[in-house]
Amino acid sequence: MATTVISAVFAVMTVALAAVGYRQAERARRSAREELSRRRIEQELRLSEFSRPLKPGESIPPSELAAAHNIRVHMQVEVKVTRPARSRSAIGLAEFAASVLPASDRDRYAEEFRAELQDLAQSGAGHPRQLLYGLRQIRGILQMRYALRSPRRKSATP
Amino acid sequence: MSRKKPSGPRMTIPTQLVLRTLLAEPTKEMYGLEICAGAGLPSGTIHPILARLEGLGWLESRWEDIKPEDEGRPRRRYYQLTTDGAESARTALAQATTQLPAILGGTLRPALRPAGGTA
Repeated sequence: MATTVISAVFAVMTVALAAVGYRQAERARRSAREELSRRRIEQELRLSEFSRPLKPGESIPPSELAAAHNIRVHMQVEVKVTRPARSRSAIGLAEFAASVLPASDRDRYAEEFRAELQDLAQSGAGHPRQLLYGLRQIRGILQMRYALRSPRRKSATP
Repeated sequence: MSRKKPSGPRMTIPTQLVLRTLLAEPTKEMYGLEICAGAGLPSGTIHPILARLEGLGWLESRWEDIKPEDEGRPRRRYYQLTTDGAESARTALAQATTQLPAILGGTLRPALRPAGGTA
């Protein structure tokens, strides 16, 4: 009885902590996105200064070219920094799930799961959502292994 | 007396949702997360269903036509109903003993509602 109560309390606390962590991460991501879009607008305005039409035979002054190049590089670096990264733990979970599958299907599903994690990350999903994805793959993997080994299976291309 | 084995998959609620999502646009190729979003199912649920349907020949799949090294991301796997699969899916959905609207209380998106349903 006492063990059940302790387990329940522990479970509630874990869920509450995860929820708080998720909300904080979400808030941080939102403010980073807002900051990025503000900076992008500023940089695009600065870039537009270089978009005046050139006269025939006129070349772009090296100083302007260098400045435009610097801004472009700066923008690329910022985009890379603020893009949510793929969670390594989630990739590990997804790859573990794929390793349970029959050998002929393992590589295919490992790549498919990695692609979906990449899509999740690009859509702004943070670490917890990616971990959840990995855990869900593990939860359904025995069912999938059964489906892949079924004698009724005809010709799925690996 | 022997009972005849069904030739299609078990028409569970998730299977029906996946089939209805694919049948909403039978010629469109969709990847896993797209199907999840369309069917409103978590990602771990749909891969076993897709594997089963693909094994039965109802679905076909192919890799996205990109070079992962150039794009900096892994290739997606696209799924599409075969012509026979679409036909079989329609028949199986019509014959499904578990009707979606009754269970989900008419909360299905219009695209996933069965034709002539009351949802």
